[in-house]
Amino acid sequence: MKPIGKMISWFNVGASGIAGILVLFLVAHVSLDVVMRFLFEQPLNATILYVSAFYMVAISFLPLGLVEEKNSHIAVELLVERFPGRVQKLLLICAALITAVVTAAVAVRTGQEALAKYATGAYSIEAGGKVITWPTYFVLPVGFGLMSLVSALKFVALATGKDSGLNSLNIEDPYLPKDTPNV
Amino acid sequence: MSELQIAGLFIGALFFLILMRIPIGVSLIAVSFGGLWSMFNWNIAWGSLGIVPYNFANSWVLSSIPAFLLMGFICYHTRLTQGLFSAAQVWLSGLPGGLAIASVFGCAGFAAVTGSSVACSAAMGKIAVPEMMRHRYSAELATGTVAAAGTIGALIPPSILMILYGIISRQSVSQLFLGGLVVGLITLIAYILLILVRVKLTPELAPPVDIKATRSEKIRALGQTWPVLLIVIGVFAGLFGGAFTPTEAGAIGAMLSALVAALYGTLNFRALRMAIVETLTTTASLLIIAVGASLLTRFLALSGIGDALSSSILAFGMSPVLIMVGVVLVYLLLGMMLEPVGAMLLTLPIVLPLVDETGYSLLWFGVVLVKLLEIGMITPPMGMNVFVIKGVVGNMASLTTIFRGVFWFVVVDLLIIALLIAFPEIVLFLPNLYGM
Repeated sequence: MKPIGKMISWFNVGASGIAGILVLFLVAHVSLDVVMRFLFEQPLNATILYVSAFYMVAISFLPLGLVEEKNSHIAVELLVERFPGRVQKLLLICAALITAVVTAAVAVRTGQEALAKYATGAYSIEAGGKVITWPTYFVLPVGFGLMSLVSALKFVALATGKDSGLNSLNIEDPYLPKDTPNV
Repeated sequence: MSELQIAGLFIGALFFLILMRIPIGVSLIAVSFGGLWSMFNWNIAWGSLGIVPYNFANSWVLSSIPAFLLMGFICYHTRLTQGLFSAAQVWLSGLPGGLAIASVFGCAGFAAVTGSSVACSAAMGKIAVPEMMRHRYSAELATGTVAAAGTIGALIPPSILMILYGIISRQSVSQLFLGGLVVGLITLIAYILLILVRVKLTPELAPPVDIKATRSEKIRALGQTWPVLLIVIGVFAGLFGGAFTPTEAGAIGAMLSALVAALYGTLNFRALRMAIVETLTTTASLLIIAVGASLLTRFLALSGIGDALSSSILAFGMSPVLIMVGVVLVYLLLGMMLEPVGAMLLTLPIVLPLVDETGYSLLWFGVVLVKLLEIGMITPPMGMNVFVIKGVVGNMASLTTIFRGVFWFVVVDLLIIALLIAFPEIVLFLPNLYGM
């Protein structure tokens, strides 16, 4: 199972890497648009479309798998913490299974939607001409799919007691010590 | 089953899943899907699942969130804000509780470059708490002050909570920011007064500190705040001058912070990478909840359950003020258990129509709501800011000490909330002026 976990981790790093580059694109593109507008009165074409459909959609969903891998999805620990260890583990297993199923459903459905957009060749008419938008729809099945894979793997690892092989990216904080939980 | 019973059933299911530690976003998606399927049919439920996530994320205003997050995280990871506390310290240490007051100022300054109160508390806690402890301040005052003052981070713009609220309630983000600025400044002043009064009454809390600084040293300390000043002026002049949309302000802000950090000599690849990774994980973990909340809104609206819920509350014939007091109590309670984004997105689909019916302005409510949610950051048992301060100070103070330390700040916060409900104009004055 370890090699699978490692592979999924690499996919997550890759997907988040792309999203990270797109964050920089977002900042650069919008800044350039502002500069062009104020200095040369010549804003870039279709900035809003590129930022919303191309950058924002990818930034929102591509890192979902990484977030799941780092256990950083927002959840309420308050009640479960008080349960005995075995119950806690059982609930963790259930949570991983439910998360895997729900996100898989979203991945399948958004995948169908993406294929439909591809088939019709979805595009948007902007000031600078036609901009193809169907590729942006494929980000969702990838993001939700990765999240589903990670939680499915967590489920198997927890249920069988084996190491999942997921090795999440660590975040070093300049102010907080390493062992501060979940900030 | 009546609509109300169905509402109770689904809301109960939602809270059950959330309390069982299912991620909030996943719980929302599952319950809304189940609701749409059982109330209508498979096609409507399955169809919504395909449309809602893309349509929600594909938004220009929403893209200001990663931009502002990146700006804040760059400032945080390149330690751009360290000069703030030392400058405030040099200028204010003569006052009773001067170091505590300086740390409140430090938090407010940091608040202007970040939308997160946790980041505010963490950064200021690391710098200010050890300094206060060194001068034999009581641990309670030292830690409580920084934990509470961190909440100013989400009030003074930029504010991630306000951007999300603005998108969901269709209010202008710039106007919300202005309202937040007012309440942030009121909080700042109230906290300073509180510290002054407490130290006057119990001088042992904060022994006088003797930091002698010449005029030129004072001016030099002020000079250390240039990185933050430059970024803040660049971003907010553009935003409130009407030249930038929030996304543009955030992007320019991120660009400026990277440039300033490069000039300051603290920008390196590792810091930038950390800032980007945190921007991504924060954005994605917010977005999946927002998508779930958007599905819930769809379910509540299509099924008429949302209307049934708000009209049944209104049917009690309570006055708007009484309803608002009820809303405040609910959020104080929720704030104890949930973190702000979850608490807000989970409840807005139900609360917004209700507030709208009572005649209160949605702009006003957004600002009050953020203030309420921020109180939740420092109230037990789930007080994220308190946990962060605990992480920063380690063995210097126990969790109980810190929670005790924030007590009086919470009392002051409740007074501020009462003031805002009694006089909504306090919040609305500046945004209305801007809107004209």
